[in-house]
Amino acid sequence: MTIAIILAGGSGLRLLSSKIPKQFIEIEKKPIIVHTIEKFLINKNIDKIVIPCNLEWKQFLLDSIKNINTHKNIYICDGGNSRNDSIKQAVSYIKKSFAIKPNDIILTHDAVRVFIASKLINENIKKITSFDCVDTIINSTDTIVVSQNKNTISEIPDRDMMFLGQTPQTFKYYVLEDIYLNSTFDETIFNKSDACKLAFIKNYKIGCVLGEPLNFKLTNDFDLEMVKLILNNDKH
Amino acid sequence: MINTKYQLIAPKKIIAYPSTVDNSKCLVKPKYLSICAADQRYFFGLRDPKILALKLPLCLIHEGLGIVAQDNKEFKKNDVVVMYPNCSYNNNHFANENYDLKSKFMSSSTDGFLQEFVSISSNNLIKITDDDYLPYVLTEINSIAVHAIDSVRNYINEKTHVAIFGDGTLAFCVHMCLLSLYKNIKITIYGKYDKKLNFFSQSINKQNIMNAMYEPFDIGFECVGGQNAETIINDAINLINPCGIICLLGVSETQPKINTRLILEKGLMLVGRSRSQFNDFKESIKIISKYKNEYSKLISELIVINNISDIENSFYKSLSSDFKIVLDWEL
Repeated sequence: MTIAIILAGGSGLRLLSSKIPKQFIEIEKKPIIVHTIEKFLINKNIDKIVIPCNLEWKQFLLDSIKNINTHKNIYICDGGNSRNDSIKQAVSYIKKSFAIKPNDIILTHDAVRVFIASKLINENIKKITSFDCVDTIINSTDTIVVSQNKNTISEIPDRDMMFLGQTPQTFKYYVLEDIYLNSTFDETIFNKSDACKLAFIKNYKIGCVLGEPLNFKLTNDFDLEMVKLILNNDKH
Repeated sequence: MINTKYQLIAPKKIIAYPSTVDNSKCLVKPKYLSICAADQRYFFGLRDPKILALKLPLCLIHEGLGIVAQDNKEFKKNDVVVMYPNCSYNNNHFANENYDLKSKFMSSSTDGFLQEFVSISSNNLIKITDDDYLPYVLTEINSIAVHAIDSVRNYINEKTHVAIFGDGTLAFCVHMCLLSLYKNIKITIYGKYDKKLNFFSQSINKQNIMNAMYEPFDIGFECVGGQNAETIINDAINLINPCGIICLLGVSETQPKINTRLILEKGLMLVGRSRSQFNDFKESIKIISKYKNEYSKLISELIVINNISDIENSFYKSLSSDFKIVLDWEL
C-alpha cells in the first residue's frame, strides 16, 4: 500500500496578504491544496491520501474535495499544532484505519508545493525500495553560509555538497511508526526538525531524489504572485 | 489540475512549464511517443522563421499512445489508448475533418503530446487491448499510409503496378498496408540505402536508385519530401504511365518545381495526403496487429525520458536513425 500524507496544517504566517492559510487560497478556481491533492489522486501508484487538518478548516476542506473524492480514497484526520504533530496524527490515523504493513510506503508532501510533478512522486516511490527513507533535494543556486549569531559568518561549506530539502519525503511505514509513535525527542529538536531529520537522528538510511526548481514551497506573497503569474502566462 | 507541458520555446530549446489542464476531458498519461519529421522541422528550426514565431511555444509530437489516468464514461483508468491528434472544431468526426481549416492538429496548431498529462476528447482515443502495445506507437504514421491508399482504392486492380519512392518509415508503412490490403499487386520500391531496403518484404521489387532498373508504373507514392522532393517527383512524373496517380506524402519546405507540362500531357493526378481520419486510425491498428513483428522493425531505438536533456538528445538521435526513435515517457 502507498499512502500520501498532504500536509495542510500551516497557518501561513509569512503570507501577509491573506487572512486564510495559504493552502486554502484559491488559484484557478480551486484551493491550492486541491490542485496538489489532484496530482496524487491521479497517480496510479498512490492508493490513499490522508490529510491532517485543524478543526476550523475541516469543513472547508471536506467541501473542497467533495467533487474529486469519487473513489473515497481521500481521508481527513485531525491536524496538530506543528508539522511534526500533524504527521504524528496522520500516522496514528493510518495505523488505526488501514491494514498497514511495516514496508508499506508513506509519502509526505507540502500542500503548498503545488507544481509537484508525477516524475518526482514516482522517483520517490521507486527509490524507497532501497532505503528506509527518501528525501527530495535540490542544489542551492546561492552559496550557503553558517552564522551562529546572525552577525558574523562561522562557516562556508562546500556548495557542491549542500542541498535544499523539498518534499515529497518518503518513508517505509515502520520508520514513521518508530519516530512518531514509539520515540521521544527533545521538544526543541522535534519542533525544529523535519521528518527526515528525525529519521537521520535515529540512524535510518536516507536516499535522495533530485527535486526541481518549480517544486518550490509557496511561503510568502511573492511566491503566491509567482504561482499566479506562471499559471496566467500559460494562457497567452 | 496543474499539469506540466514540455514546450519548445525556440529551436533546440525545450522548457517545462506548468499549466492547468481541462479535467473534464479524458486525461491520458503519455507512454510511448515517436518523433516525426514534422517535429524535427520545428525542433531544429527548419521552418520559416515567421511560422516559428507564430507557433512557438509549442508541445511537439503527435504520434503516440498512453495510459488513461482516471475513469470517465468511455474509458477506465489504466486503459491503453492510441491518441488521434486531429481535433475537429465540433468535437465530432466528419468527412475531411483532417483537412478542415477549423480543425486543430496537435503539435502544430495546438499543443502535442509532450506533456505530463494530455487532456484529450475521448472521441480521439482508441483502446488497445494487446498487452504488447509498443508497436501501436506507429498507428499515426501508418494511418497516413492507410489514408493515402484509401484515396486511390478505386484505381487499384490486380494488374496495377505500384511504385513507392523512399525507403524510410512512411514508405515501409505504405508497402505493409498495400501488402495487407492487396495480396497480388506488383510493388516496386526505389530507395537510397540497401541497409534500409533490406527491412522491406522480400515479395516486392526493391531497387537502389544508384543502379535502379526503372519501370513504368500506374500509381506512385512519394515518401521522400525535403530537399530531394523535386527530383523524385519529377522522376515519378517521367516514369509513370499515362493517366496515372501520384500520391504526395512527403513534406518539403523548398517548394519543389514540377513539370506541369508532362502532367498535362499524360493526364496525371497528383494527390496530397498528409493527415489521416479517425477511421484510418482504426484500420491502421488492425494492420499493425496483424504484422506486429514487421512493424516492430521500425523502432530503431526506445529511449527512456527522465528529463529535458533526454528529450533533446532524442531529437538529435532521430536525425541519424534509420527509422523511428520512440520515447518511453517517464515525465
